[in-house]
Amino acid sequence: MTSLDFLAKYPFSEEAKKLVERENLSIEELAYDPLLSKARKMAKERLERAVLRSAFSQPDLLDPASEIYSLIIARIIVEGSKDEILRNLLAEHESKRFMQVSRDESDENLLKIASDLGVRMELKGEFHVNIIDYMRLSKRLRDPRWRAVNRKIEGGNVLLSRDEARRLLAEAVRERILSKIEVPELPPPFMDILKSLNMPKKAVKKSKKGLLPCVESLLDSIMRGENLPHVARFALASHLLAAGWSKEEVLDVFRHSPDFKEKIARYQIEQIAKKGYRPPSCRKMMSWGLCPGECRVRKVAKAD
Amino acid sequence: MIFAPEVEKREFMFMGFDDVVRRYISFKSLDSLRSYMADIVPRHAYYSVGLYRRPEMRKMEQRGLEGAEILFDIDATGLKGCSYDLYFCENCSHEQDSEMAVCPSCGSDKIKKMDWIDERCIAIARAEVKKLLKILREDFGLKDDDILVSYTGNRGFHVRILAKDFLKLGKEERAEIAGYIGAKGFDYEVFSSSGGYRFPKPDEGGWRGRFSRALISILRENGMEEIAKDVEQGKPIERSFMRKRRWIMEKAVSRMREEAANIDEAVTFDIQRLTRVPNSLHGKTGLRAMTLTYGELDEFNPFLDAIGLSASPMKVRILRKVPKFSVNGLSFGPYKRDEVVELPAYAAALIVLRERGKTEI
Repeated sequence: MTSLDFLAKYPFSEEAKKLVERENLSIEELAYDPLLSKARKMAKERLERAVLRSAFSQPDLLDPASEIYSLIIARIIVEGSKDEILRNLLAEHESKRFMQVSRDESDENLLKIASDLGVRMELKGEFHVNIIDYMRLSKRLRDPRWRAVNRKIEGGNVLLSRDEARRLLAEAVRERILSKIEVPELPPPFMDILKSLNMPKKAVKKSKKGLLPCVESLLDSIMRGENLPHVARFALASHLLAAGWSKEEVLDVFRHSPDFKEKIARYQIEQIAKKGYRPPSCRKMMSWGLCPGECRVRKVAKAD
Repeated sequence: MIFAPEVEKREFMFMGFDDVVRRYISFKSLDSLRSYMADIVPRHAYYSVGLYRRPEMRKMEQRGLEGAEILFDIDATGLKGCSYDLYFCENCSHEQDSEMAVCPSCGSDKIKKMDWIDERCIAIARAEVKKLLKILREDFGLKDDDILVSYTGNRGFHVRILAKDFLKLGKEERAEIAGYIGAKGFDYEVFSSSGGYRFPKPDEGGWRGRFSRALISILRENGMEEIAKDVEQGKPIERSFMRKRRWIMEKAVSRMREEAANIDEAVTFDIQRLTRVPNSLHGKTGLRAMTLTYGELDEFNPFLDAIGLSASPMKVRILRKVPKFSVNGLSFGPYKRDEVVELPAYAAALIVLRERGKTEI
């Protein structure tokens, strides 16, 4: 039997979904049922915190249903908004939240979450993760130490410490929140929550002319609100500056990053501009694992 | 016999001897594919690695992609020991064995690089296939049943992963797998910490173990037995010591990379790829593309096992130098320009399809 605080801490899980599935509520009930007013308030707060990139609120361990419904409502609003930036912001928020709440979790429960998220993970001294699942989930963690080529490998598995296993599961949480759900048109109470959110400025009007296809795809990713690894941010910023974008224009691009912090981003962009770092070549960016293939000119797509 | 697993989900493309390309073709059954091919007799026949609900649709988004096989392409062309053997000036027909940027005879820069196909090239490609299979088995935990090896009909091999959980992978994951096979992104600095370099144990799996084994042997070759022992036992090595001897680590990386398989990465991450239909003839050799078992891979000789044409005699006029070669246990050549020779069709086809001769009636 799954404990209540497990469900409150991990409202994204299939286990949690089971708890509310029985009630089979319609989107109207979710929007208007007075019993769910707390969940709606929590959903609004979830999204506000995601947009402001601030810390999550402590889960109410005694009321898992409200946690679960609030995440469901938040996801419905994201889906209805058709806004990829908002989707990425919520995913980032939930992934960070998972890192916090799972800090003291038992190994047994971590494995349970892994299986719930479809990650093949076993505990044999260290955490063993299927190499294909590992490659799928680690793609946003582009630090060299996360690349499979630099990791301990044993018979089709990648070996991880407990904290690394949690970090990988946080990526699986992100993946789940990013996945699409079927949603009818948003009822007015949900539209109101959506409109109340203070979303970052959208338009970057600068022309993409003269950028490498590789850099253009990084720019597109960040504008969709995806969380880019450090090397990708460096590559993007240095290429944009070299293409004649102003520091403010580059900063506006980075505002779309789900973990944007103005002070840090401004400092880093200024450093790149001041020190005049040369933008990395296509070859270099390929070796960092950025933009697979886009650097090359596509030939007729056939092999011998 | 022409064969294509899940034939009804694949897109086909054919190139005829008339140089016409026929694309976006699909077949409901193997029988209809076979009778079509018997009818049009294509010079090249390709099918998609992608499996689609409606493979005949022109736009990707209308096809309904269900998954795609992961394909590794190993081609001896460009690998050490199997390069070009003839350089030909398209302006004045001057030819020579060594590379030329401009023709010494007429000064033109229209130089055609030409290659031949022989047992040595096949052996070089085969060695790469074996490295790849080793990595797929040891690091990815794949079983023999999960992997399919085939000869391309030219200078290389294809290796495919059939395991179900690989079919759904996206482009990024495929690029990561391809990079892993080539040990791309390996970085020994991840072993460095404030306590010094803590290298992996030599019995570790993956590239870490391969690196440490290479490192230990290089340390020993250079008389640094004590350090080699420390690495073996997992003891940290002082940072300043290693930093002053960076060449040791660099050398270990290049020795480690000798175990990496030389694949064409662009093929592996392309889910829209078209690839040669097994058991069809290759239009540059007249040899048959064919599926191999592991036992067959070691012994496989395309000039005995993949002959796709008959022995009926054909007259060929030699246009460009042809080296000595053997097919079907018989030795042919070398031939000089303007010679006219009568050969079995399979040997004549090799010369004609590689643009070194033309048939005479």
